[in-house]
Amino acid sequence: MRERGKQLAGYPPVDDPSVAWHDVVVDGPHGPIPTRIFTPTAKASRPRAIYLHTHGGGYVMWGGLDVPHNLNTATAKDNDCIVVAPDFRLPPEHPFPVPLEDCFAAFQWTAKNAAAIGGRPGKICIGGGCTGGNLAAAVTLMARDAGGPMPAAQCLQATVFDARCEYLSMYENSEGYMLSRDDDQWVIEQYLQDMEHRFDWRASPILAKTMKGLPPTLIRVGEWDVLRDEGIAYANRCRDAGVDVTLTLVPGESHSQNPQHAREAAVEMAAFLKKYVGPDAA
Amino acid sequence: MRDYEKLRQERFAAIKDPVLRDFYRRIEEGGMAAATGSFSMTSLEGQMTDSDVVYHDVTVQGPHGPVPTRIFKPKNAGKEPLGIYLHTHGAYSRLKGLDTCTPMNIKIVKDSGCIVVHPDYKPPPEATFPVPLDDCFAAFLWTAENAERIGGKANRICAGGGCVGANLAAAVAIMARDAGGPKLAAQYLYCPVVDMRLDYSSYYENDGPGYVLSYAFCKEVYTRYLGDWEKRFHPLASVLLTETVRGLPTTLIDVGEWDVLRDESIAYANRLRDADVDVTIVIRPEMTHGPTPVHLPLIDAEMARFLRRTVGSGYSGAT
Repeated sequence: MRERGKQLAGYPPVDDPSVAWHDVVVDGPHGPIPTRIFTPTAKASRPRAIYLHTHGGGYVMWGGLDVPHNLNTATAKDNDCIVVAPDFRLPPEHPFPVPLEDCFAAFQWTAKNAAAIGGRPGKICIGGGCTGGNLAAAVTLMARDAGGPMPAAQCLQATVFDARCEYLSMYENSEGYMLSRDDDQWVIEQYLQDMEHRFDWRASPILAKTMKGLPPTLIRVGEWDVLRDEGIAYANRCRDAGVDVTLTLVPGESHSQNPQHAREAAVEMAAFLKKYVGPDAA
Repeated sequence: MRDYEKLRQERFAAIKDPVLRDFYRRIEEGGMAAATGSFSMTSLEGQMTDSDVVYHDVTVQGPHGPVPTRIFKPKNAGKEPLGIYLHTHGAYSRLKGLDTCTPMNIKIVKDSGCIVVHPDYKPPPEATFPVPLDDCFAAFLWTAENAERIGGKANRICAGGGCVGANLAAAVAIMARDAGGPKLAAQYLYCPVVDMRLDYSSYYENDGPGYVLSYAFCKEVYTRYLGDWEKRFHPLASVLLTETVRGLPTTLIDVGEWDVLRDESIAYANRLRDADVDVTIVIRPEMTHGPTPVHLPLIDAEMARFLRRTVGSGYSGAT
């Protein structure tokens, strides 16, 4: 399964002369977290925005720095930004909350070392797709509650916001749309193991006590995705709480993106990054 | 899975108040039937008449036919307009009939000094969602339209109820906000059902002998109400799923710490607070679902204070 996941992520890595990369080791509460930093090779007149990518892959897949390598290269290139990609521990070997705590440690490291890696301090966008969006949303809530540095934006694509899997879209889009409700439950079980953790807001960010104080948020999800309705519910909660939130429902998209949808997603993400963490962002 | 059976035994064993301990022991042994008996002993016991309260019946025309409705007033009401409490009762068919809730409604009038309007909406299983809700909303519109005639004011109406009755009240509040006509000034949600998807920790933690409600019983009740189980995702059934809670009225949520409905009550309060709605949540220690002889006086007093403050004699909003 992990082998098949690699293919989906675009493995193996291809070097691109416009993006350089190097590896660092971040210390986390569960030991070292290998982390890859992607930097555009062109000279920058001003510090760049940073995108902290907590990768997806159904929690269990996409481990290893080389697996999402090409995706991260493309993000750095398309947005002229620095990408920080932690290779956090994965379930089932390392269940909840270990992967999340690794991601949180990677965020804190990034906030502390932003200038040293050529980034704009305070201008970190955290993001990911599917289970990676789940980790990103939880890291943002944890950062807010910790009272220290916060992501300046969060980019949440086709995200798992609720580990309980009880929305109409979970049934409406379950059969024949790539990701089924059973699939979603299966990956959540691998992550949580004790399913009572589904009531923990760190696993189901929709259950957080408050959304107040969250940074500008982009939620993008397909109309035919099982995850559609929890994306809408999270956007509703954020909007009610005064968070600057954009909800984009993509017509005709399920949980898998066709090339056209992927291009559109990249364009929207680029505009979002430019607006909230780019060199001219306030 | 936590050992909730052990927790349950520890909880009930640790209760110090002998009245409460005895109350739960009877429910533990007698199940729902004993609970029903307990309800009648507490909230439903009382007289059908009271020297301080008058009432009369009207018929509200709703979209699904007539809704018999009883209006309760303090006997010696002066010229000043009174607050109005629109009581959408809980327990659906178990409290059907205008007489069943009459002792309770008389008590609410006496405690709060407000007018009580009580629609006997058509309950499930004969009438399924949204018929009971439409009946309640029709009763609200009637109340707003006739507020001055019955001695109240249209902008001083609180809707409320317990359990599934609170669900109806919360949905009426949302419908009123969205309809663009008269709005509620307050909502009183006593141990409310706000999310019929049945997936909160409290459904597992507080399920077992003595807790009055259970996951299985709730599912049965919701299914009967919805008719079609898939309607649980409808935002007027699971009001927590409504697009926005902005603009909802001042809210009091009162719920037991040991109620299966605790966590959705908390989630709804969190959502309302985030949206800057004036919301108060009271979580009663050692209370399951519904009142106990120990908690009932506290709950009644809190409700009466809330009614006086939001729509009654303490009303300080626009006139």
